Amino acid sequence: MLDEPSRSTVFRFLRDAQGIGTLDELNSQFIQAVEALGFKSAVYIRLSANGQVLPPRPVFGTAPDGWVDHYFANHYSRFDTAIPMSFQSRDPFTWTEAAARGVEARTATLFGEAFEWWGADTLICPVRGIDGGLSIVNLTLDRGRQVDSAERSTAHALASLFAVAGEGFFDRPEPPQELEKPLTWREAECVYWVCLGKSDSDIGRILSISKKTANHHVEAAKTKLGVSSRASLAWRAFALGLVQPPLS
Amino acid sequence: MIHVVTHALRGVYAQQIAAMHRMRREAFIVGKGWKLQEHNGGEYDRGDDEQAVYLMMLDDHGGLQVSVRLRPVLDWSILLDEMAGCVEDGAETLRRPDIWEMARHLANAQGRSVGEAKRRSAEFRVAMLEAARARKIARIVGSVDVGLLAYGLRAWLDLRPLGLPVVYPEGGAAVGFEIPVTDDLINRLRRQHAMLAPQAFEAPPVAVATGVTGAQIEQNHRAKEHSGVHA
Repeated sequence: MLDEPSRSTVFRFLRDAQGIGTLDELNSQFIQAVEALGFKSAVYIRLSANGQVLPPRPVFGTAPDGWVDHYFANHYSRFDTAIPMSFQSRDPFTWTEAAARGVEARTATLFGEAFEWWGADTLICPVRGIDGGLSIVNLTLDRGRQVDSAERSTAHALASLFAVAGEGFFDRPEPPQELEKPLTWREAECVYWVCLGKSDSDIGRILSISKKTANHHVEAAKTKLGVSSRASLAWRAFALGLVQPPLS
Repeated sequence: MIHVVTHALRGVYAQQIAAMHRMRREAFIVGKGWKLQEHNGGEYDRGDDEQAVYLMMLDDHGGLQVSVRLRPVLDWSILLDEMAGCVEDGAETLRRPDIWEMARHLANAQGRSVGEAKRRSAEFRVAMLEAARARKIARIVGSVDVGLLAYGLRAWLDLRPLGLPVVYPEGGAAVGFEIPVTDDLINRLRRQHAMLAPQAFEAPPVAVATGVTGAQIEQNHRAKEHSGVHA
């Protein structure tokens, strides 16, 4: 439960972030707001733009000296379970939670070194964009600290404002290519329901078609979008602007 | 073209309204597990009364693709009455006749080619603002899942959070927001998405007496567009 001054600091940032005139000022006010929640520092990393996956380099914010070079020199992005989790999850999660998903020894090495270099754990907040982009805002916190759902959602809201306001100071990525073959309307309908996690049986029931026909449309959409799994289909459809989330 | 469905026009759009309630049940009760009222295979709440104005995007067969409910907040709204904790300055400060709530926003199969869903989504936003502006509404309020806040900020340009997120009992969290309904915002969104014509379309009252359907209105509009005549 936040005390009144902390709550006021957090709300002020949520309300005013988009009117802040410089990136330095934005950083400064964001850090004040996340410190009110008990976080230490923040870094913004772009993972994807216009359907293309990008190397996870910090764009703004603070990472420990040398960490980024060390990360890329060791090809850690291949073993970094936080990256696929960011694509799959709508909710924030910690490095500790991402490390627990790892099965490779290099993943354990990566997170062991990350905890040491950063001297902290990190809450990763995925931020999705209108142009099919995915960014994350990493907020450092004391190792072993439990972050409850109210703190996570407040941090996520702050991170969303930070990311959107911060991106306003940078150039936008190029728009995506056209699909070689557009989806049919039936395929598009099936893709929409795949994005909501529906099975072929569910989709068949919703659209009054057979499970087999639903599967046929989903497979055709996967081929057209060049992906092999339903999760990738959902992500790619979102990234290409084929599906947009309703707001409320 | 986005159809503006007032209480008087519900007979014209009866098929689409039934589909909307079914989709709402699928998305909110089945999909999200929210404990909402279910009736005749659809989801309904007390906002689905004669004050509700539904906006609908239809396909060329009249099938429902996107819908939202806009409604005055004076007597009741989800944000002010069910989720008042989302408004930091006090929900009652928003109980004004010139404020509408947007709620139960649904979208189905919006795009077949790259960026199409984005364009159609923008058309829908502009139509919401046009419909509200035509009724002298100054602000639209609502609540959004925290995971979609960044999307909302980018899509609506002038969206502002009204408070800190509130955690749902069913899981997840929502942020209250407001959007100013201004000509300036409408014009910026139109320019951004190269929209020349108004997006909101409200059938004249005579439509009710003629027995025309929503599907026929949509098809007629599309035929005019193809022949170069704009409604």
